[in-house]
Amino acid sequence: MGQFPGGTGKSFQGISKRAMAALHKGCKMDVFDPALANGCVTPTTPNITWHPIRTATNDAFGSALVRWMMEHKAYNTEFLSLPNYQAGVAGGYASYTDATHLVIVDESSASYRKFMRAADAGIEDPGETDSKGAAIVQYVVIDAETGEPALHTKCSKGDLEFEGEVNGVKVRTAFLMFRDSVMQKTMDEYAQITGVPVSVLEATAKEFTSHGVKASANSMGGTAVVNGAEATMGYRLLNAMIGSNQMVGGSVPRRNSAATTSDGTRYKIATVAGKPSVSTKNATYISRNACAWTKTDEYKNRKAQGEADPKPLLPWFPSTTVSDNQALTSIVNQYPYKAKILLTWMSNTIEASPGLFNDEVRARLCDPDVVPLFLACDVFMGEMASMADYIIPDTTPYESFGVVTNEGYWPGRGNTVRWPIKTPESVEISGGRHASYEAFICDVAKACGAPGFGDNAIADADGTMHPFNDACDLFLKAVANLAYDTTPVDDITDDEIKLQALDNLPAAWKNAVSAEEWPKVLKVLSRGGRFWPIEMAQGKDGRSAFAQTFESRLYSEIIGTSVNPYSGKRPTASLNAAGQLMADQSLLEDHFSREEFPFVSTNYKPRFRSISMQSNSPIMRDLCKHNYIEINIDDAAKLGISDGDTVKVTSAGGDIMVGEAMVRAGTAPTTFAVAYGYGHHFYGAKSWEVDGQTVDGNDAIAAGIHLVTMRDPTITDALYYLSDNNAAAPGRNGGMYKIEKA
Amino acid sequence: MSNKRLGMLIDLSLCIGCNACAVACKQENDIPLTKFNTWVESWDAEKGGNVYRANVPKQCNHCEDAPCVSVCPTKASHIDPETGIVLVDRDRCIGCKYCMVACPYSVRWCDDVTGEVEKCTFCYHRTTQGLLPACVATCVTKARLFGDLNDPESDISKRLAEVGGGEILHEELGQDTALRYIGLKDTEACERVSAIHKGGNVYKKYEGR
Repeated sequence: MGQFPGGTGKSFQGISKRAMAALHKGCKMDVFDPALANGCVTPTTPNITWHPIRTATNDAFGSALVRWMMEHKAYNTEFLSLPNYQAGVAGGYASYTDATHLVIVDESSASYRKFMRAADAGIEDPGETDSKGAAIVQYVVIDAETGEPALHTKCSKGDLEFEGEVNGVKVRTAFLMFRDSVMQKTMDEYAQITGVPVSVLEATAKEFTSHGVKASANSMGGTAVVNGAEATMGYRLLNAMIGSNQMVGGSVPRRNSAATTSDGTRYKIATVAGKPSVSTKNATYISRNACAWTKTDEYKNRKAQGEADPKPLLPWFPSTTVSDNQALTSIVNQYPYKAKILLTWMSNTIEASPGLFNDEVRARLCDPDVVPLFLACDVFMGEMASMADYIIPDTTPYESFGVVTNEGYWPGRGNTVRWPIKTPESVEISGGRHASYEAFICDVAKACGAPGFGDNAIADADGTMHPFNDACDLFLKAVANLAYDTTPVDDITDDEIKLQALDNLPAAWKNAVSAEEWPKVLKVLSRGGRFWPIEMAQGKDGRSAFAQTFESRLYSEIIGTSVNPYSGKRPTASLNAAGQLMADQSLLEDHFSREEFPFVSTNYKPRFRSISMQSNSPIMRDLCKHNYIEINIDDAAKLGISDGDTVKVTSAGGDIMVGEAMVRAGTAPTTFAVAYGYGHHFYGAKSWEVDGQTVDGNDAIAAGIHLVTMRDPTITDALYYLSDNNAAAPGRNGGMYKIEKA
Repeated sequence: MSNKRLGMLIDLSLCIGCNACAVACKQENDIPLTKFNTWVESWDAEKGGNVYRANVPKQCNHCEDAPCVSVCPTKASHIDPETGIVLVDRDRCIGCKYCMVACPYSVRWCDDVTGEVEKCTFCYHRTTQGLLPACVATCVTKARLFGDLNDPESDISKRLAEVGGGEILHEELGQDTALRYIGLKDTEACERVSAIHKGGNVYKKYEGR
């Protein structure tokens, strides 16, 4: 169960291929997605059903399924009672939850809405540390056997529904907090919100809980929507309700990688002697992540200066670590600090954060007073690079290295290796190198005297230092790490070298590793990576072989203890039908009329474009010249819109898009769908003069529409666009719109 | 004369409409922009209250008694005796386009520069060397099978035997084609509830219910 297999930003072909094979073997899939994409849901593919769902309601959908499970006691009580990972494994699972952990609900307590710790319960903390030396936080549960408080790490089965006092403090289990949260709305209300009939919600919950741990909710998360974090929580928790996390047949771990660009068997690539110690302890992300507003220096300073209730110019996101769209928002608002130098590489953040693509934001990014120096390292003059002061030439995927994990919900272990199959077309620079991001970084780092670059940069397993002056120096060492991981691969044979013309590779590549490593490195290059047998993904007793400590949290302490600085409201700390909440926790629909703006957007991954790329490909343009404004048949009939009509979409914030209507049954009612990657303003769409020569723009690259999203109406002193309050992702889906015939 | 007849079987229950076949074909055969030897038609299809996205790859059907061959005044369009593949001899083609009109499946196109008519050759240059057609070789879900229809031991013959011979596009025309489908009738039986897209471009607008 989940969103479109392959329609969520991961590999469409990889996921569809595996999903198709599973469907034909009898696996049943229910796809809940606002847009019916091409893929596995065909009239003759067995065992798969598409259910249209209104965008930005995954939180309500997840809540509805859990509500049904609560009402019918269809959840796995035995699993949810296991309070720690060891107990989870002993119980036959590969994960655990905080369901039995106690939450302090005593408003007079300084720890109100926090999990109860050992000290709160008057229990001695044993002072244990984990394998990395970090202190293990000891939470408190009620032992199901004794009925007494116990530390979660010392208890094999907790009371799931305890409510009462411990050490004189009122507490409840996270499970009860969670239950209250999903019981806030009725099944009818959930059906109303999602557009999914009660009968389908009930049947789905029943089916999902009818196969033990052999069921999984996937691809429902962080979908660039205001309430995306709740949706992510939803799918994690649906799996938690049946104990299927990390179980074969359930939701198994992916991206299982060898140690390649990190500290591997042959080279310690991640270890840099003398690396400056920069962390959230002594620095602040410009994107306002990983720090609560009340923990910022600015808050403390303003409080110290006597301000009673300081409010930040822009929201802070304590529960996530990085966010490119928020970094860009911060830069244009020069908050929390000014970006003196902006360097982007292979990045088109402004295109992927559609709220930001407007004249005001662009003018600020071009203003030296706002961004004194903007460098873009890119192959393309994309929307982002078009504003840079300097363009640093880079290499294309065919001219560059990469060692990455396999995307597409592949359950095995291994890494693909990308290596240059042609000489880069970028300018030749010193040392026989070609201009690229890696060469630029190496040269700048050397000029700055930064450690980890230059002639004594990377240590091998014996501690001998090796140079890092170009991409091959680093990536071929990563390939050596891959080749020697666990059991080393065989040397390549002479026949294979000849067959693939690997004897013609540059000398610099061979020099980047030892003579002993080179034949094994070539073996991996010749196969485009290294993959362990898929059978090894199956662990013991139905667990994934890659299972690691895994906890699902039914209750979020970070969210539970936060107070919204703009309104003073406390957000709900468990999965709930939050809806599209703005920065001050008010609903978007409180600011605009749903009657006037009844539509929400869904911005989905098409077959023929990526978010920001592929429109430069003539074949991709040949396959699909432009995208459409996809509207449900019944909505179109009400609006008098026919297939192929030109229509105007206006957001509640006044942004306008004009495009060709595709009237179809494959769009959820009251949602309109726009495939992304179309409607470029730059990226070859516009003419440029370079060194006196004009590079002509191509209108075909500009064809189609680029979804525009709205400003958050509750942040009026800064430029701030619809964003996920927890995940800090751009609110590309959702919003409020009206559609009319142009 | 060989008794080989090379053919293709497309299982629509495996086709995800990714169009990798169309791309591979264009690259392999150097097909000019706006022209296609193979393409995928996709549309929304309603059945039993549920909506699905139908994908139907199209290309030359390699008819046994090909109308394009019969109408060709120069014998440029012909059937290769060794493989049964319908081919066009460029040196003989005069660009009269009779064949384009005669083709019951509208799969032929005219090169805007040379004036010659082209279409799918089942990748003759590959398949006569023991390779698969580019579209088959690239298909991620193995929706396309290729082989000798006259060899009962070939994978395609075995699969066709399992499914009762496969289905023929526009069966009512009475053509015996080397291109067969699985799931075509079930797909066509659904109500069409969107435009038909060729790739992602509108091929036939949706006129409503």
